[in-house]
Amino acid sequence: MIELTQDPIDVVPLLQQAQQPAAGAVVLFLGITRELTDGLRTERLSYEAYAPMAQQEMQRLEATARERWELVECLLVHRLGEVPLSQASVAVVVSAGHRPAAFEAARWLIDELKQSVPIWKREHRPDGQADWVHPSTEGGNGCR
Amino acid sequence: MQVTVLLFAGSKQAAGKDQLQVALPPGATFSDLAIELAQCEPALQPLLAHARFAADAQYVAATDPVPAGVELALIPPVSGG
Repeated sequence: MIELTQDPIDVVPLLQQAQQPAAGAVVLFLGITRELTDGLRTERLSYEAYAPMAQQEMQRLEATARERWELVECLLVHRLGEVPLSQASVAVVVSAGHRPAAFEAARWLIDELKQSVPIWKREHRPDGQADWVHPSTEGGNGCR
Repeated sequence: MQVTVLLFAGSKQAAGKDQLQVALPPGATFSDLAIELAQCEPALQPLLAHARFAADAQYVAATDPVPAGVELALIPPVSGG
């Protein structure tokens, strides 16, 4: 299951969905909004997606993970819009018969999501400035 | 052929709009499209060097020909998560 949402991510129903009789392990990963990046303070973050493509890419990641590992449940949720500090912007929940598959799949899913899913974050600073984050560009204005 | 390219995040901010229209010769590739976009909107240049393109919501290779009649998007380096 994949989802893009404007609302806070509630992990309780996600965990409930992952806890099925066939599963012996559930791994939950949360990416949460961090205050300091390279010494710069961020007051809040906002996320924008190219939604149809982001959904398609997330579906592709789920399908690939299910091919590579024997998973019981595989849930990817990304929040969009404004996300206050310390709240989850992304959740990956994976359940499997045994823990190696669950850990490996969850790690692979979040790493791939950060590489390929067309979602961008904007860091809003206390002085009112806001920068889009574009990781592989260097030296550009507000781009890292 | 006239194409419309969707812009997001830093590329939208740099261009000051959420899409750009450019004219391409028949058989043009996505590399050609990148050159055309840089000429039409020089502010996009720093991001174009690292960006990818999507056609019909799927990543394409720089050497692929630009198809007609599908949604095109410039995808600057992503930062979700």
